Amino acid sequence: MPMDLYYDPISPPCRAVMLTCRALGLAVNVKKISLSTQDQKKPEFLAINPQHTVPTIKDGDLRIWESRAITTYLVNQYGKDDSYYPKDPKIRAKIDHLLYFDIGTLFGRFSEIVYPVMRGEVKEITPVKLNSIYETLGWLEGFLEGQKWAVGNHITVADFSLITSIQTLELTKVNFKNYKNILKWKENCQKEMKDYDDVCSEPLTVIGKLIQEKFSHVNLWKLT
Amino acid sequence: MPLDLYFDAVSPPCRAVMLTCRALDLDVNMKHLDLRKGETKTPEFIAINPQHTLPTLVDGDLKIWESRAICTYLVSQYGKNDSLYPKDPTARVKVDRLLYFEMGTLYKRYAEVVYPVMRGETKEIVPAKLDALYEAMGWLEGYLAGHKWAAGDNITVADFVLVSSVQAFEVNKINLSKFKNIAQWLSNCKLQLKGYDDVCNQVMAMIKKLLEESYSNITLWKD
Repeated sequence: MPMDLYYDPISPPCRAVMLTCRALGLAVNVKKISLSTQDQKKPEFLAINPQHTVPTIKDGDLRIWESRAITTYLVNQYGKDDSYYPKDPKIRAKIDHLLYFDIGTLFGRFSEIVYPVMRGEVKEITPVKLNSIYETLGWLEGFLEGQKWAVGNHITVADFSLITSIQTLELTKVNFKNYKNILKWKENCQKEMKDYDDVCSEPLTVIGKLIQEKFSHVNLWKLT
Repeated sequence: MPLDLYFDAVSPPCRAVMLTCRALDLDVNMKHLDLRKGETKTPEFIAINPQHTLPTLVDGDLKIWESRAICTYLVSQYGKNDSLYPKDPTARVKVDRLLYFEMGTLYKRYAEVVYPVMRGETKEIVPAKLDALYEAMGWLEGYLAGHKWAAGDNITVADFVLVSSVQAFEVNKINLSKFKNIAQWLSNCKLQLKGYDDVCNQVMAMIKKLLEESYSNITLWKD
């Protein structure tokens, strides 16, 4: 029986789960939760996930949220092999490190800076905060040195989480010019991840338009 | 060959890794770096970890940081069995969800309340941010219902990670009487986690004193 995936494509963590499902060839019942109309706060969804976040999956009795716990679970449970999340502890540790880097630093710093502006709580992005984004990109640039994918020789769940964060940063005009490794890796993701365009193109267009219309001052450009 | 663990016990993520090491009876070279004195920003340490964060583990040619990745690695590599981090995907994901909850929500909301005060950016605790922390505590209260440990009937790395945060909240005077499950679980942790006293009690007493002396305006009490 296919699992239920509570999903809003404008959410980067949701897209990371969807890219994982497509890579694994997994059938899912997509249940759209529109964040813009606050569907996640309705009683029916709260009964499933009291934290009212997406993505959330319902797999039989199991209800799970936190996108990076979901993607790793899907590979562990349904992967034909372990290539998207190798079982070797040392390789897995490198992937896990990047998943926590994504939640705590890459996507973490981005959300802390951009969302208060988008919610109208703060009017500007201070230089210190802007620098923290570029500091993070510098670290990612270093992690990607000498390799095609985030960890090892093939795509892993680390790539799915990282790319959905980076593609979203791009819409706020982050200047990637000097980050050659990130640019090359981003191109590889777009060319080689299964259903990348199908999963990502339209939502990114929607988000891009939203930013342009409503929050034109969200501009993370910096001459690096 | 023993592992090198760069740590500072004032950091909750460091304590989570230390509790994991004790549970696994691991032989570890403890390398203390004083965060407040900037000892993580030396060229030697940045050569190991360009993000210059603690904890950092060096195991042969593997250099790993992010405490929760370290905890799960240590169990996977050195655990005599998998009880601290079950291999079964359905059991494992329950642990992983809690690790990400702790990082992305629980500890994050605590840091957003407390660190601006400690950094001198604001003089007071912001009520909306304090509410957000209690909301997260409410979720944890729910997650702990019906079983002794965070992810079920056995101790897992989720307990080490969560308790390292919750013990910090406690010394900041969070009102635990509102949260019966958390209070009971915390008490179980104090009594039953291997090395708890050694890893946590002394440093928590020191932190409590520091808060009282330097940041007496930090109290997370809320009725």
